[in-house]
Amino acid sequence: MIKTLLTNLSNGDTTATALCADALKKAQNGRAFISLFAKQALQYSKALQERINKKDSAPLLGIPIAVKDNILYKDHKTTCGSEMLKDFVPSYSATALEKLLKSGANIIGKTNMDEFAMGSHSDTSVFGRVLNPYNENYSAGGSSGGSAAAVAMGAVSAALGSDTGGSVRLPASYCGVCGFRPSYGTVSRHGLVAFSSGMDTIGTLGVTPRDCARIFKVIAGVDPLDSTNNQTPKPDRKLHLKDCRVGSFLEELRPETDSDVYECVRHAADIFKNTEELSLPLSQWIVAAYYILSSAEAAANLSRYQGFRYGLSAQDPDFYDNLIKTRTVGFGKEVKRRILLGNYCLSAGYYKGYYLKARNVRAALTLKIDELLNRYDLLLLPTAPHRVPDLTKPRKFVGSYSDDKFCAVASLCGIPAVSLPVGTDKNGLPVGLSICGRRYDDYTLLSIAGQLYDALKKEGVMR
Amino acid sequence: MQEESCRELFEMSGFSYSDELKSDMDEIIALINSIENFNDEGFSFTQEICPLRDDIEENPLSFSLNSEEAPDFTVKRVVKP
Repeated sequence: MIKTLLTNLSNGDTTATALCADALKKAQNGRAFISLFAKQALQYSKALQERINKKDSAPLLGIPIAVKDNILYKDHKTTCGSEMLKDFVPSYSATALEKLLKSGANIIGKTNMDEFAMGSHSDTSVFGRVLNPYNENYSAGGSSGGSAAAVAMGAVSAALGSDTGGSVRLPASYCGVCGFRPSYGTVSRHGLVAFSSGMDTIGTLGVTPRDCARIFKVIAGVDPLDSTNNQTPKPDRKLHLKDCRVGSFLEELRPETDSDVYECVRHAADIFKNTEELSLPLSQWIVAAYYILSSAEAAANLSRYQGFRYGLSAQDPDFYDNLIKTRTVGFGKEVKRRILLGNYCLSAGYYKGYYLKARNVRAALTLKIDELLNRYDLLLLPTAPHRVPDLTKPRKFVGSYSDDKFCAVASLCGIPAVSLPVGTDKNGLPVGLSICGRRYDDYTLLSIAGQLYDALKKEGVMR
Repeated sequence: MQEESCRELFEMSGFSYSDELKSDMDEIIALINSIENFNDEGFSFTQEICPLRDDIEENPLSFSLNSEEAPDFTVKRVVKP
């Protein structure tokens, strides 16, 4: 998709300004964006077009891109979908965003998201719920729901999101686009508003896996401003789809998966010829470990919002009253739940029973998944166990926590994973298959995902 | 969860107490508390999962932001008593 746009731009079949105007028009829908930079983007597109005319070879020259609203953009509001940061204007840009700008991308706006990236349906934003482009009653997935919807409705061909426990892959699955979570440590987190620093990654969403790869190639690389960003992804091993050794958790997870979802992912998985069914290690503790660790880190990271350094302030002259009032008003219910859970698990009486146990589940799971990835090139599992939820029907919030189990595997292990659309459920909404790869073998994973995408497209599975 | 300890937790987290959130906490704790049964003998979290850059691991004190690279942390909003 991006490749086609670049070809059209260089052939003169379209212009950067026309692409930008079209993107801005489509971006008005579905509450996918929190802010749009219409005037700035249109003006900038003219400068980009001049560079295209001069045969400049920047890799994303003239391509409209959307960015999740927890990634800092200097002098542009970055709200994290929260009352707390509703008027926050950062004084510097995230490294990933700087790299996009240097590559000639035209950032048209910041996308809607679950508050502080905590949620699975993009319904905890203070700016309203993101609407699924397939059916507005249904979840767009979270927390990068705005980025996924922006790609799905054709406003942009690629967007940046962030993925802690599935926040790129789940909305990609629900909106029928591709979502890629890179290996932890390959993309700088400098300028990504912290949720769970040990699992946060900046990921990419695109129409195809090749779009995700193209953006990843631009944003990946070591950054001295992020001490954990220490790895350059390995070169593509050029594996062919049919030759891949694939480990599948599909049968193991079948009892937890809706039958129509299972049928879709099974059909796609069967395109691989060398597949073995496996047991998912430590399956029963994955959800607990993920929520304990991510919430503990969230409680620490979000303690900075005290009402006097940045963001909202209740303006109470008493320090303590100001803190309580600011945080009680500034954070939504889901963020409060996570902070409470994090502080609970870190408190003296529960630290050993919860936090240390969760840390060791993570270590054990990583060890076992790494062992499997020494034997197999890829691991397969559904992106979500259930079909896309209808948000007009009542649901329990803890149900959404349990639904994060499949995505949490890659998050806890720090391995790359991509979600591909592989069909539709009985309601006509998209279903995603997750493919996990070896640590730092991101390009191989994306290349195989691209081959699978082509094979499914040939069958007419892709729109 | 006892109401008294829950009130302490809310206070420590910087929130006013809410019955609704207390009830949510009970549900979450019911979801996660099975982890106490995980037998973690032989496993421990190591830096291999989240390694730091080589230069930092070798000499942690060597890591410092170059003042030219350091972002400008201008405080934009300050509470005035």
